[in-house]
Amino acid sequence: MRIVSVHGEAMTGIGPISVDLPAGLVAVVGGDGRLRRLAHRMLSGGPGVTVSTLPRVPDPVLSRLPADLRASLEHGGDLDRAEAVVTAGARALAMLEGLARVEAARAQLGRLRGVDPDADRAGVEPEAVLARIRELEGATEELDALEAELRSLRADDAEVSGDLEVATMEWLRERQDAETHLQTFRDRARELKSRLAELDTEGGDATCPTCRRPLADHLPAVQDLLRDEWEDVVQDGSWWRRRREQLENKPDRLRDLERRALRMHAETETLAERVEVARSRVYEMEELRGRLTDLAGPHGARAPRGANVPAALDPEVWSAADVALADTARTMRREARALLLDRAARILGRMTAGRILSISWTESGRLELFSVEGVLHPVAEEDLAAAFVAIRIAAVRTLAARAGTATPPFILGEPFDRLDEPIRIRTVEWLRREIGSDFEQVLLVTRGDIVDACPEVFDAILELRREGLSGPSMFRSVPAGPGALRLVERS
Amino acid sequence: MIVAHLSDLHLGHRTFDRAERGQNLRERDLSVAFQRAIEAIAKAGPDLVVVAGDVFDRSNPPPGALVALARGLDELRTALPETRVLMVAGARDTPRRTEDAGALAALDTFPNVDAAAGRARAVVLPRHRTHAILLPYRSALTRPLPAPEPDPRQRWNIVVAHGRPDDGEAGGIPIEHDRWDYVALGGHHTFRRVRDGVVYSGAVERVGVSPWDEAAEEKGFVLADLEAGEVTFVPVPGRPVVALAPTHVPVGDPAGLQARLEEVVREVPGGIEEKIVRIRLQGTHPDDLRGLDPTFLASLVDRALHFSIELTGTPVPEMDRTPLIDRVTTSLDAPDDRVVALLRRVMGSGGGGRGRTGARTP
Repeated sequence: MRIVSVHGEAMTGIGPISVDLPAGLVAVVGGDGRLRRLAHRMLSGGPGVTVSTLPRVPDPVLSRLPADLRASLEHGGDLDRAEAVVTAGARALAMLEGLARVEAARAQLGRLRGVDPDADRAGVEPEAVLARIRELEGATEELDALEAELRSLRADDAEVSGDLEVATMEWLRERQDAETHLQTFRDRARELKSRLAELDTEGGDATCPTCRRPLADHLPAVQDLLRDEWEDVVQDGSWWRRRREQLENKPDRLRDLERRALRMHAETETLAERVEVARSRVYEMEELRGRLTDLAGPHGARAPRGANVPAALDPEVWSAADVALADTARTMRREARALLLDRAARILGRMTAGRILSISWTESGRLELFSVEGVLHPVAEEDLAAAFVAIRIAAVRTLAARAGTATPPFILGEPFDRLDEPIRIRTVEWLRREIGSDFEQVLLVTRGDIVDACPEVFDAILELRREGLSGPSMFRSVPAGPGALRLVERS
Repeated sequence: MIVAHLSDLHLGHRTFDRAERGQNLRERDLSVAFQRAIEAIAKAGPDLVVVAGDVFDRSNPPPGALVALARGLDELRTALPETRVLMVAGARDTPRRTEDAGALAALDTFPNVDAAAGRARAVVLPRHRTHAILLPYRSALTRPLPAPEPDPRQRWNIVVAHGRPDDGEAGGIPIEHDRWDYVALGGHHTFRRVRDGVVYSGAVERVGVSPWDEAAEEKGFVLADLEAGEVTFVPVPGRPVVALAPTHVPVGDPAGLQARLEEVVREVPGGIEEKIVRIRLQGTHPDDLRGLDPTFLASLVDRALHFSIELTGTPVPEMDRTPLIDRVTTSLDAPDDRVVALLRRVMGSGGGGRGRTGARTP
């Protein structure tokens, strides 16, 4: 599937605009950062935009995934961190395996537990479903709000973690510095003491270490000199010993930061759980709306809902069922995440010419990159950006591969421009190879450096330009491709 | 009439993040390869030298690349004062903005050098009774396309172009190749005869993003004897690139993986020192690499100029086709009919399939 044209009636910041898009690797360049973001949003089919695709009928499997989840992965608009891409990608993969159904079952379990079992035996009343839907109204807004809160909290968390890392490194460096100085002074003090003892023993026969002649009359002067130095060394050494003792324990600021970081991790985890609960409510609502349609049926008949439930169930039965569903959902997410990170690591390996070898997910919900030099800690901004891009590509490809369908059009914007230049070039050259065999269309929204670096790689380059400061924007096609020559015989 | 044909020098190409005295080692390798090519050309003493594009790796090359090129051209002029150098800009030499000619255009001012960066250009060399058409990258992209014609008054007619030949009816600069004595092409990194007298010289070093794909190919330039109709490829030695045979190691066996890696690396003739090495591991899971001894990995990285590990050969696993209800019930600590019945109840009729977001059923 590919996007053939995008038409915006009056996009805020761009105005009315229309563009035809060819297949292959297409660069959308030019404009300032804001204009590029607007262009990205436009290509992603923002409000007031009509996106025409070929074929026109959406893929039956992938289109069953929630539209916002697919859009996040294929267009990347609202995913701002690599961890968020992992979560979204793993969720989408797990949903192909039936995660939504497990979550909906769990939500229903909770609901059934709170109602009269006799009513359960009779099946689900449409009125009860309606009542539950009414209860769940606002779940989507709640989810949006919680997700926004989680994003903000994660940003704060990342900031505190960064401060903590800097403070820890500073403390360790200072402690090491004090230790090194102390050892140096101790060694020097030992050396001087031993030399003074030698001079005391050997007297005027002691030799000068420089010229190897006996010190004779110079002995007292040399002894005074060495004693002075020894005293200085002892005094300075004492200062470094105290300094090292001071640094033995973590400074208060570092301890404060650790406490803050722990608190924020805990808050993030709690909020992440609340987001999951809110998401389950949204899925339950979707499920119930579907069920309501089933219950109404073509003739308004109630559909049977499987085996009846005994009137009085042991609380342990409810609990065991809930645990089984929760375990299954967790396992599905974990397996999907492992698969996604496996595929992403392979892509990242190619992007970095084999420098980064694997990506893993820590218990605190962070990404850890393992390179030929070991675990990357701290992780460079460029490497995180590369992981972000690799995970998005992996998510879209793996979803399509698992669903047994063609890879949908893929829109890549930030953080592509933040990658190291060799990685940028490897990435587009790799995407170029994948065009045809895997991707049919990749739209790269970029500042343009990559186009200057390797114009021959792109099938088309569209330059976004604005006429004057507030004039209309337009796309202009810039020549691209390898440069065609036509070898013909003499006519 | 002897023509020395080279292309895809990619001077200024930086990769692999290894530097010595402030210069990227691959950038230096490419300068050295160009220098070697110049020395070999000076010895061969051709009547004409043509460079078919991608002289630089980017349209705003680093100063070192300009110096390397200027030095090479200067040496050529000293050794062969009568020999003209004809150059065309490739994709990498051409800036996106048409109003910018790019760095290569500056070389047009050098004595004995004609460097076409924007439009097609005809050059006549009366001394050799030769007519050459220079077709830079940009000329193949801008309309109207040039329609190069040989000059019947000249003894030799030559095309120097950067691009990809296409036999089809699609657009592209038309070249009636049988009317030209020699068509010197650039834009493909491997020496290749496209037709009689239509030749890609290939790059002088391995400059692709994956140099291992070109490990078995020689790099260099071409000497074309137009009188005899002979084309001779002259190899230029470059930094060794080693693409090790794919190795299969079972998943979850880091010790076995390390032993196999040690064995494979040991068997590289002459060792891996200063070479660009890639090993492909089939079926290995990325996390298995974490089980390798870090000092062992570090030693590989230190010894080679670049050591790349690539994981291949593991397709995306099929979806789990087990009915969902079975997956849920197998996670029960102790199977209980009442729990299973309740699960069936909440998962809908039978609990099979994958629900509304499920993929294709088998």
